[in-house]
Amino acid sequence: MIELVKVEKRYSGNTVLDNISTSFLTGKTHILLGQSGCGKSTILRLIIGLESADNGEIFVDNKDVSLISRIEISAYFGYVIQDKTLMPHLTVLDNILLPVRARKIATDSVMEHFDFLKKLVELDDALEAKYPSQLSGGQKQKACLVRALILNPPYLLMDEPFSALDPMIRSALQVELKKIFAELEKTVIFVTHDLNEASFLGDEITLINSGRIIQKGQIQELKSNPGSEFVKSFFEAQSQQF
Amino acid sequence: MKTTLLSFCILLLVSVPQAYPITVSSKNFTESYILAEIFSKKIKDDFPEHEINRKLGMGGTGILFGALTNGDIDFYPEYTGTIAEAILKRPELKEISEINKALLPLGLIASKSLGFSNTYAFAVKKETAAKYLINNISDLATLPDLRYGFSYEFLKRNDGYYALAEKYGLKNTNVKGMAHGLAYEAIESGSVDLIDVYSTDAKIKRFDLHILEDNLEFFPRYDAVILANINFVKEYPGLWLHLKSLEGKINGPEMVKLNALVELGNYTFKDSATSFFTPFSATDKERKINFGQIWSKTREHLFLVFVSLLLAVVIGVPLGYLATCSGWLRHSIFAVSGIVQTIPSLALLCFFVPFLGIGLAPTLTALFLYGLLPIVRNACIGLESIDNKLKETSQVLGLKKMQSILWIEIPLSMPSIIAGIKTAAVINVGTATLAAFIGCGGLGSFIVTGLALNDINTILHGAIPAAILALILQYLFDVADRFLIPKGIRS
Ligand SMILES: Nc1ncnc2c1ncn2[C@@H]1O[C@H](COP(=O)(O)OP(=O)(O)O)[C@@H](O)[C@H]1O
Ligand SMILES: [Mg+2]
Repeated sequence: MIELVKVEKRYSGNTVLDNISTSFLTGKTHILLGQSGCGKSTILRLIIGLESADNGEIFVDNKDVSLISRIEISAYFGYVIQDKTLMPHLTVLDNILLPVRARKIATDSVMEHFDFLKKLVELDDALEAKYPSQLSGGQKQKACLVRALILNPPYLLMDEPFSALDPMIRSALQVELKKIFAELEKTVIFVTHDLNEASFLGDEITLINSGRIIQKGQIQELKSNPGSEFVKSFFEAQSQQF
Repeated sequence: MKTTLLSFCILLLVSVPQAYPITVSSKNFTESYILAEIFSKKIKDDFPEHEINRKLGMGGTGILFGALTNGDIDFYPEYTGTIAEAILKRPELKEISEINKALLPLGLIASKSLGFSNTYAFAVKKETAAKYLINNISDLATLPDLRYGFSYEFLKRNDGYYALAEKYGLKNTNVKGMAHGLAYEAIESGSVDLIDVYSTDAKIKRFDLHILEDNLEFFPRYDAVILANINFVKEYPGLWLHLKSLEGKINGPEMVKLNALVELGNYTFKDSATSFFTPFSATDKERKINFGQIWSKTREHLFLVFVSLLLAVVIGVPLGYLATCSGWLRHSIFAVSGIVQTIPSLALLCFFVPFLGIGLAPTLTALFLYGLLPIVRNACIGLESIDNKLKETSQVLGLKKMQSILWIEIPLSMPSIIAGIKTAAVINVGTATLAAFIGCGGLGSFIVTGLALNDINTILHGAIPAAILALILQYLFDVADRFLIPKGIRS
């Protein structure tokens, strides 16, 4: 379980996260939903230790993340984001094995899991020897996902992983991802600003606006029982797009 | 390979002081080279058990003075006027005994005159001297119609012609200024009757000129002496006495003859020194290209370039990394390495002589400092241009800081780092030619000797291989790009 207690984050005086308290239960797929700039990414970055909170505490499996080293934190999480994060000078295979080698684990011991992941995400064997620049956007994100999962971490954090891809590939990957989530039974926190993606992938939705949690619950609950004017207008605005 | 090269360098550095050979040195002009060879031969012939190190062709009085006081060299030929003016800064000192009194606190000692003085002198054709019965400068006072041709410098100097004319009461009005190089031809062709020369110029013999005695002692004395470190004298009193037996043995015409052998007859400095002990009848020689010598100097040169470059890489890349860490570190690192770059290379080399002596240590230090800026700057720029997302990713994937630097950040900045090393290498190939000025060999030895002889040929012996070396290095780095820059980021 991941727990945030009264978390605050400011960037040069601007409050980006304002008194966030929530928890993400083990085994579920959680969606952080909200407009661009509302603070979703910052929540993930705080959890994974790329930023530190100005106030409040974050616990992962009851451990305060501010008290353990960044390397230790990294063992809990797979992290996939929208940006290109494959190391351009390493082959796909070397990229995927980076977390293994960093911890001086014998690569043989992860090969079985590696093969399983490749099948799971349908990553072509022939791509292993290629460099990131030779891959399509979708293939890159698949490789990133395999890399994030290679050491089988209990948590998977995804920050709009498909938003840089074109819509066709994007919806195909969403279908695949849903299968993967079902198969892996990991605790997932998935960040998106897209209501359709959210309702397709997630169990639990956390709706965020201007650094505050507005409402939390199943998608149907939020739709049928909006807790505020904002929730109502958010859903209306998003459904008008289609 | 890198470690063997480094340990070789360290071995070389520490092994130098262990043996204590006698080191003779010289300045970078013909006469100084020849005298040093004479000293060297004088000891070698009679005391063959002593090992003699020859570090000839140093770049100036300052360097030699530094090297002599800290014991890097034991003795070299110097002139009393230079000792008084440049070393002691007391131009009023004339006598050897006075000079030695002033040298003692510096731990130095000078021999008596070797027998000649190298200063300004007046020269006329032998026929002219015979015709007008001119022996000394005073004799000119009665000959106001002689045509004088003087170098511009001698005309302009405060202690030049006009001061002399006053002292000797000369009333000549027929005085022409001309470039020093043309004066000999002018007197030969008869367009002037009298010129100013350096009293041991090789051309005095070639043009068969007569030197007038400076009977009122107007010109400052530049008596050639042996300047030695007092420790050498105490350690080897026998050798010092043996060297002092040369006092008064080399007279002006003799020195002119020895200079002429080299400058006009194409003999080596060594040949000329040999002829002092066992005179031979000289016929002019053709100067030949000595490929063996070029190759050995090229190897010395490469050694200097590579060792200094290696040091610059080993220190420069981490410094470049440090510079990315904080603003003020960046500023200070760039400021210091930038300032170093603006110091003229020869000045930088000389700057280290008082602390590091002559030879390898100051040369490598100076070359290392020159190579530093391009390497630091390029490493810093390369490291800073890495996408921050990639650095974060390596942290998130669990890479330790060092792993992130070595596996991710350095490889990603490789194109920029290599470009920096390439620049440093080319700079160092050029700068290393100056190593010869502080006795460290390399292709610069040819250039220094060539300058002393005023011989383009010899200069080209050093300059052409150095230029070729720079081109080859440039090419090798282009090839190295293919191995050192990771495939995924090669353009
Ligand atoms: N490093 C930073 N420095 C200053 N402001 C930042 C920084 N990172 C994010 N912000 C600001 O914090 C707010 C929330 O950002 P973010 O969490 O990325 O939003 P979201 O992911 O919901 O689009 C935005 O207004 C953004 O401009
Ligand atoms: Mg975001």
